[in-house]
Amino acid sequence: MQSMNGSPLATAPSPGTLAPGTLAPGEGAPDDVRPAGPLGRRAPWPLTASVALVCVALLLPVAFLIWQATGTGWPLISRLLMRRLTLTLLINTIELTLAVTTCAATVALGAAWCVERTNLPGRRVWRVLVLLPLAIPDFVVGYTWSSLTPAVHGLTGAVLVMTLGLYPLVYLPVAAALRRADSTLYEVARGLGSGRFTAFRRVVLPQIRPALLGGCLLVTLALLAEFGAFEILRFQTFTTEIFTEFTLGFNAAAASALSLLLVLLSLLALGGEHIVGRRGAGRGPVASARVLRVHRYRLGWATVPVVGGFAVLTGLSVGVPVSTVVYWRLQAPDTTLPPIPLAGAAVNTVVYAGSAAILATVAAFPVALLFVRHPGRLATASERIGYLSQGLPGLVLALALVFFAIHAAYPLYQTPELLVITYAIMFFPLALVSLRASLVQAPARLEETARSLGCRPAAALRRVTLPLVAPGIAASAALVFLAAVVELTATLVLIPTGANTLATAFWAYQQNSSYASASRYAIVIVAIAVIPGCLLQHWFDRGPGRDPGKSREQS
Amino acid sequence: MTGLSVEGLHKSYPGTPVLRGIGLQVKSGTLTAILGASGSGKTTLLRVITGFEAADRGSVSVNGTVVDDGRHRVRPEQRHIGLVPQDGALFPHLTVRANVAFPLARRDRHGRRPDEMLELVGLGDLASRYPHQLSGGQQQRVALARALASQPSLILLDEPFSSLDAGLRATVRTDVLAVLRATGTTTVLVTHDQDEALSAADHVAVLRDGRIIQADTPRQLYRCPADPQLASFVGTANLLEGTWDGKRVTTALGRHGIHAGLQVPKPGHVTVLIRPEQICLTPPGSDTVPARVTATHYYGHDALVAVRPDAPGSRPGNGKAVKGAPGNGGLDGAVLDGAVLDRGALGGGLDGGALGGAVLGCGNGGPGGVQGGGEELRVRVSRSDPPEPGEFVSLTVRGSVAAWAAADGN
Repeated sequence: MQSMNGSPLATAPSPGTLAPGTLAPGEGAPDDVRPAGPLGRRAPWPLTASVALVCVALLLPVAFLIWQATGTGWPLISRLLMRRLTLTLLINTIELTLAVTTCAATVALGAAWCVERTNLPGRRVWRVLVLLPLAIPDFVVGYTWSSLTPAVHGLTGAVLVMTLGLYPLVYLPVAAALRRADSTLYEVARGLGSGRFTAFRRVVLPQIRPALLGGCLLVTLALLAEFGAFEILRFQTFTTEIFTEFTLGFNAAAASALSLLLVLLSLLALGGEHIVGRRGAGRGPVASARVLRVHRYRLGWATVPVVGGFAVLTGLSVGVPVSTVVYWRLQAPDTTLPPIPLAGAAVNTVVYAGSAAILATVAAFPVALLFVRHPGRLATASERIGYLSQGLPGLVLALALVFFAIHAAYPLYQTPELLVITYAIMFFPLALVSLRASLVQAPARLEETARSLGCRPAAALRRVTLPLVAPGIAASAALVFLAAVVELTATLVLIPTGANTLATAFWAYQQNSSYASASRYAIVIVAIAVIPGCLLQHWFDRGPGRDPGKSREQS
Repeated sequence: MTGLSVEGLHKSYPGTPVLRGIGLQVKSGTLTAILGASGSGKTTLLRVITGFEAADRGSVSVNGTVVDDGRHRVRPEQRHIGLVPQDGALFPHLTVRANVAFPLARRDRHGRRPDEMLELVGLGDLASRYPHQLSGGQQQRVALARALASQPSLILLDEPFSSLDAGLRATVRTDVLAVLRATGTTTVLVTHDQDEALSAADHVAVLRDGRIIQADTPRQLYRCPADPQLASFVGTANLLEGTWDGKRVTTALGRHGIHAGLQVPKPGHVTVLIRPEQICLTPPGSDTVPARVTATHYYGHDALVAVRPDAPGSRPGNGKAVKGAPGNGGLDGAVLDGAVLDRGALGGGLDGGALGGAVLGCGNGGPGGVQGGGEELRVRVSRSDPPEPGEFVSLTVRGSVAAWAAADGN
């Protein structure tokens, strides 16, 4: 599956947030001592209460994970972990993570530099094409490659497939950072006697380093959580092993022991990025209110090889999967399994993903509001908790909720509701990030102005803040929907018996090597995943007056 | 009648007292400027008046109605205070007309009032634009029209012109203030720009460290500031040491009368304020104070000239060298000039804006002050051909001066 557990937007501020013009005070502006929160320091109690409720809900899975593990008993857990298998899995995971992260970072950095900072022909087309792999689930990419040739398997195959599937997670934040990075600095460095590469290394790279690290973190988290692609490529990681122990061996103890280790690895990655990323803190752009000038490097003779490189990259990451799926779709059905109605699976997918999108957005709204308007201890804590669920691979989360349902809420077991709740917890960070970014677009100042003009608080929220945040709400719902549509692992664990989503139907046929039958579902998944993507684009590029930050540049 | 009345207002954030007993009266229909540097508490005062922060103690009344007495407070939306924030804060999702119609009741939003308001600020033809399609100055005027549309008892302008280009600032300011005077609206202008405060307001209240240091007419504030620090804040100030004998003060520049109505300190050492435009430069003469020009800042319409009074016989070598004899002495003189010029430029004192940066010859001159230390004085010359550095001039002081008892008591 294409793990969207870590949002690309987490490190790439959405287009709207890059508007410091109205937020940065002008020359000689007042910087009087101000309260922490613009609308008064204390948040209204309904807000605090709902945030607390959301936090508790988010913490439940972790609590159950720990309960489950302690129920198993530490001696058993340590014996399970001290197996040779654990070492193999650890080595596999580390090798894979290092290789894929390096490859993805290299590809993404090169591509982002060429698109944002050179006169590469056809930049507008490439900009879209390099992002398309995000809409193709990794299990589909794995399936297409392995259906083409059995040579794609094991570590090499996994590195190839995952690099092609995940590099946009690095590309997105790095490209955004490059767009923001002031090329005047580069020119100054050149003027001070630095060569082209020295200037890049010493001036440009430090500017985009946080974005690069953030992107690498997303790749790492996605790798730790990935199940489908590795299963197809016969590459053993913690996730595949946990799944096997749980579904085939019904060995809950082993599954939970390995889960703990996996969560630990995810948290290590999160913490590592936090520490390394913070080292560069305080290096923000100095004069962000200034209109940035972009200097485009002329490619010259290098144009042909660079364009060739882009053609190969998009050919491998988009062309191969899409054409292979289409090829299989044109073949006769090749299955002995009973047919799964396509329409029914599609409806299930849309209903589950849609409900999850609404639930996650509704839950994330108070948290985002608290964070933007009333920063403080509770806001920070809720942000950390959001991060924590980013470090929970989907499979682990699903197992924790299964355990929760069996032991504490049996009526929920094997229901669509539990699946929707799981999706909502899993993709909560996505909703939070885009809502937060859009709430920054609707500064408290505007709401205050509305109130000084005679609006009651509720009216100010309705007439000023909601219209401004609407794109963010849509973006948040669309992101969660997209992520839930392409989710496979948790769905396999939690899907009610007899029901199917597109992903589980695809998986059933794929497992049976019925490539042609599986392709029908893959095509619909990709098609559905593209729609919210376009919606997002539409909302962000929307018409006049949407961006309060632009106003000053034109004065 | 009092449009805005603030009495004994206290406000602190945990560990930081911000407002410490503010008292302020604004008469109906007048324009009062609240002038303060960064960190003086301007923003907090504004937020308490508008109702976004609660007062700890004291009271705020608008048109005779108490809106905050430290215990009960009226909600911001019921105070009828029109706020024009620094960047206008127009609602980006609404057209100009819809912005102006915002405070009106639903049935009036499509009536004539929004258009009348836009006509008033001279933007009737931009009604269907969006805020981002306007220039900064136009945004400010729309924000004003929007605030006026709500028929407020009081308009608060929060640094409304500081984000505009210098060229635009004066024009927009004139336009905005003309509208406010035409409508007879009680106005409070919050600013850190002393020129803006002095030129625009009927009264200026200077805020420092959470207190109103002085509230006066612009003229009185400029002529008789409450203390030397304030003197430097509201304009370029020459602060000299002097002695007061009960009738006149004596400084290195001669004997001067003091402003009428000034609280006279008891005889003894005093600090004397002489504004740059009070000093006349004349060709070197016999009965005046001789001085040498050390730097000239030329602005076209006038010039700010730094001069150093020459204590008779203190540096004869320099004088000779600059007069023209080449050689070592001349080189010395040139180097000295350069150094002096640098200091003036780096200190930023010549801009007249820096707090305390302009305190000269006050407290740091040691015994004798100006006379002994040879401190620089700033002189405004409204001629198109000000004297060049190195020239010798004479100084005479016109008019009366302000004086305070010397701070260090020597």
